[in-house]
Amino acid sequence: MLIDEKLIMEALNTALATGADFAEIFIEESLNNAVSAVDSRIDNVSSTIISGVGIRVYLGLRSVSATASAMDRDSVLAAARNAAQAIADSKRSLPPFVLRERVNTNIHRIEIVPSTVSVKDKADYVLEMCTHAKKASSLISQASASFTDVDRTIIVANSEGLLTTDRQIRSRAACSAVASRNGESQTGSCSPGRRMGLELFDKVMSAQEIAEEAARQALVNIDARYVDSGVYPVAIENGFGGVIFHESCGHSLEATSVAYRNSEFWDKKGQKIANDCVTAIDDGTIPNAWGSINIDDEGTPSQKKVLIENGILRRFMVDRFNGRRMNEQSSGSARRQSYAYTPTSRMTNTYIAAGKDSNEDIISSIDRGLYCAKMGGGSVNPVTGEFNFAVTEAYMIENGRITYPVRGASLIGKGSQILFDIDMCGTDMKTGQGMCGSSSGSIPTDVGQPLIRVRQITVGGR
Amino acid sequence: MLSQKEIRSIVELECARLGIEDWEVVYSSGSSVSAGMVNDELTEFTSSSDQTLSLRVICQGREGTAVSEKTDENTVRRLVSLAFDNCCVKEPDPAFRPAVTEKGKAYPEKNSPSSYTASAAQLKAKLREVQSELFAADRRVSQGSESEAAAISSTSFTENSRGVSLSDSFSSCYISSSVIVRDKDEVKSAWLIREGDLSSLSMLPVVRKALDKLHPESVRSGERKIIFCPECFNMFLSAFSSAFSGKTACLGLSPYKDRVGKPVASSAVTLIDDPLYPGYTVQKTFDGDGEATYTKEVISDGILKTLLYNRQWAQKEGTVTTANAAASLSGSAISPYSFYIRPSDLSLDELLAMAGEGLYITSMKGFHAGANPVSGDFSIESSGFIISGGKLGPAAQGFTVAGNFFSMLENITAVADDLEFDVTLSQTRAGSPSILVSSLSVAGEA
Repeated sequence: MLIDEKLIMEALNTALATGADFAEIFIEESLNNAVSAVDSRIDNVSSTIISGVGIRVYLGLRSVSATASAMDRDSVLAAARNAAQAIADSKRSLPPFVLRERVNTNIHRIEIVPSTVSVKDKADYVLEMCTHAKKASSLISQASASFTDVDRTIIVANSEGLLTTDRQIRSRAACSAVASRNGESQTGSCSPGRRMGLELFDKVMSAQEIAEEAARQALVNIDARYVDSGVYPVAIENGFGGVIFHESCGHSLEATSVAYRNSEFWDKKGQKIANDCVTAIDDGTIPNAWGSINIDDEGTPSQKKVLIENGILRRFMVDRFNGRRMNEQSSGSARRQSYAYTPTSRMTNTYIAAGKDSNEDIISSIDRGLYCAKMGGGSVNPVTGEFNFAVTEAYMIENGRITYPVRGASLIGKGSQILFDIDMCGTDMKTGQGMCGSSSGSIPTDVGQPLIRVRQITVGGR
Repeated sequence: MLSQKEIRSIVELECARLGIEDWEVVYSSGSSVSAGMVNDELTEFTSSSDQTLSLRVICQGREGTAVSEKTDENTVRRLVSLAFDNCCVKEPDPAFRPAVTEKGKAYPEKNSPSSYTASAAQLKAKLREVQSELFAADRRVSQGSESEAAAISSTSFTENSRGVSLSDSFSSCYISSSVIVRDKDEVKSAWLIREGDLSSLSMLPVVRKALDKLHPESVRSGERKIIFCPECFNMFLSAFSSAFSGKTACLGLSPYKDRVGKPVASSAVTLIDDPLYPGYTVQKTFDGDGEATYTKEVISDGILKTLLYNRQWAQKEGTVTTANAAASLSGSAISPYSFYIRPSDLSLDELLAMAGEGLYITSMKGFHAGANPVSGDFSIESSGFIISGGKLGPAAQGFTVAGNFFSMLENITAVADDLEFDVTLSQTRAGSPSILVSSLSVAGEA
């Protein structure tokens, strides 16, 4: 226990003293390690201990948070008093309660716990990635690589008597390669991550495979022409291609925007918001997936949620506080980067489910369009639904065949429109890893989809 | 909680035990209060207090770092051990000998620094006033419009094994507003953040910003003259500032290696890095290496004058540091301070007249993915206004602007007089006036 159960109880009672109708304490200690190399030399090795408490109280539809990095009794109780004083100035309204510990099922087997591996061994993996990337071609002028691991323990307790804990271990390897020719440089990258330890290199991708994938992308891009801008049909590949759903629709289904009616979908539950072929799921329960959580950061067990079923909006992603405004139970979606952030509803592993179309049929259906093999990140305005994505590896499709590589493409559009324009879904769903930024900080999330066809979309380029 | 003296004593003992030659500790602490209001409802209030202990150790020509928010005795011992382990993984670099700051350096004075504070009650009162003004400004301002206000303060104290002690602090306030406007079935939004004395900050311009987006026209694809507003060009400076790092250039990740003394931009461009920008709240008199900071022209009338260095990469490149070591103590980070393009005496109206026909870009999104700092290529979702006959015309949206940052700098025709900095509440921020670029690719309707 990071702090004594007696102090947890004392903090909750202090936070409730002025009339709050709910109190919660979130306690965290994380060790984050990072090893990085540039040009086959270890460039940076760092370790960061994140540690602190976040206390939150509600009164109706108001919320107050107080955080402290120090976990001694005085600091914890001072944070609880700050929260109590800011929420109300009355007397305690809740009856006494007792904490009952709930033990959660841990579905994430960790075989090689990062803290049991020496920094030197982690550095060797990083150097191996650099070496293989440079070996891929004489055009690879620069390679950098990193390995990061997080070992996070959280405790959540609240005035409903919940006391629960979780240990979350994640690892991520990354390699970035630069191909240069005639003074011009292009980049490629690969960065698999999982809720696992260093078995990542055995079970997901080896250091060599990661490096060669980064180098391959850079080499494709150095040979690519600039994409012609315009409005085209596009085929977006599986894996990180799923960022298109994450940005164009996922954020707009979070209670963070739905509760305040700031989402274009807030009143569309039960209505058709997407093409029949679109079924979209947020599933935090996938073993060892990058975005998985046993419990969310309010202590609620994670769930598999069908958000859109055959084009019909079924569910939102809801946290406890915004659920009050929406009259909905939490869906286990509350997440925060650390104790220092106030949690809100976020995605976990979010994907468009596999459909029935073959990849061959999808490509051959396009006379002139774009095949997006790898996507970069993107962003969305949930109020208007306007989104943008970068494409990091793309090819033209001509007469139903993938022809030459192009670069510099971005895709823009409106969420409510693109959901109807996704008119073909392939059968091979895969996920990709990302860090998602929002009001509660940067959190690991998976995105995913099969190969999909978008009937038409604006392609930005030169 | 341990005192700084107790922490220092543990660090000294542990370093001696492990054979660590030099150490440097930065004690940082901060506090903040913030409040959020949606419509006329105070929905969120937060307060925080935090402390961080950053440790750098040097042993046999190598350095290692470790950082902790927990500062009990066992954790401080563990921190020294982690930093030592991290240090041991590195191979000594013959081109760089790490060191902590020596005593006796002279540092500049801050240049009329500002400092702002606000109580929780003042934050709440300001939010009520702002939200009330926003909704009163126009009937189309809609439910869901929100504002957030915060007061933050931070102090840091650095000491090392060579007897050096350095301290720094700042405090400031900001308010941000996100306004939604609805006109029949059309919904638009705009966001604005301002820093400074809360009592004097008006958020009303965000309403005009949102209303101006209503009833946009589409834009046909093609090459256009483009004027970027200060907020948009600041995003370019932030996204591509790494190109001016000596480390990035040395590693071949920027086109500016071996370009010092040569033209890299049009003669209209002077790019300045100023750690002591007059009046700014987060001025820095010393960098993360403990070197005295100074103001420098990075590009002067289009000529690249210098890249930015910390001690490590200056040594490796055989030059002198520009005192741009980031305070992260990561050992290899370089970042600018107030990094801005010098304004001219031309007004925005004069820039519009010079453009004649084109687009005035007032909103861009997606730089984190749509801009490649190595190749310089960018393709960014944009909106703004059509420029017609040298005047601002109707709103335009649903298009991208694409090009290459490095060649765009060479194609800047003129800069205006309306310098604005972005609000980061940190030592690094970008500043720019409106910028006229002779030609960029626009993708909209076919």
